[in-house]
Amino acid sequence: MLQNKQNRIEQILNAYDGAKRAEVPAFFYTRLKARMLAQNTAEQPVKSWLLKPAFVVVSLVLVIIINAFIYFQKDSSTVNTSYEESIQTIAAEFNLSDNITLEDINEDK
Amino acid sequence: MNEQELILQLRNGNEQAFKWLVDNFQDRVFNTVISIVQNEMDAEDVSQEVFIQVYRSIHSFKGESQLSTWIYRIATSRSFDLLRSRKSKKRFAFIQSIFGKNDEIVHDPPDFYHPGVAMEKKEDAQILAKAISKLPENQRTAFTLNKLEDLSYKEVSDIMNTSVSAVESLLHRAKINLRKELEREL
Repeated sequence: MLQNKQNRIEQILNAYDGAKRAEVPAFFYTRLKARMLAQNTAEQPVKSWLLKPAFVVVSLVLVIIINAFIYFQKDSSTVNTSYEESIQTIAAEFNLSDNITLEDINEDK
Repeated sequence: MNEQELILQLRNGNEQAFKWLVDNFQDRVFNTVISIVQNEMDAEDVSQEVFIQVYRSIHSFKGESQLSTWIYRIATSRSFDLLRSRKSKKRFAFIQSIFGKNDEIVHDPPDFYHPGVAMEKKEDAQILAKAISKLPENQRTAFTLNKLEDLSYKEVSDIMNTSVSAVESLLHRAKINLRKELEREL
């Protein structure tokens, strides 16, 4: 019984012995070319110079320079605002438009 | 046409060279792919993808291996890509069915029968194919290339980027695992 099973397994393991190579269906090349053509028309070709490293690096450097320029310009304009202006802005935001001094507080008492 | 000449012509986009390549490699590619994906329609689809990849990436082929080795490598990796996507689709469909979003029943493909096997061995070939489908990827690749593509251990090792002794070991383990699987099945 066991021997029979082992023989059967051996037989199955040898099922591919002498197998021929599977052949591609007819007109394979025609269908392949049609698919390639369809893909070429569907895909918008990316302009090759857009992917060149030199172009990518120059674009990146330009973006960084423009960013840096905008940042430093903004920064220098904020430096010019005086200390008093900043205080006034804060006071306005907190509704402290009147100047309150220590004397005012003492008077209130 | 020698290999260097063929590669040069392919790089220049020569249509005749591409046709020559397809004519000479289509059955090798198809046989490898169908043995792994175990479905004729999927095999044709993947074989087409293999040739499209060869055509598009011939510029990146460094010539460190033979052209056939490179093509076999693409064919096996594309085939396993399909199996992985099939598996994840099946998993997704199962999750959807749990949440009741998908009423479709996911059918397992019918038992595969390699078209190159003789009719009288059809039943055995179906049982063997089912057992092969349960092997790990590397054992399956080695077994398919050696048994069905009739490639030598050296050729298989070049395709799999490993040593000849590693291929021998993979084939040995594949046979042990197949035997275990068949014992369970019978």
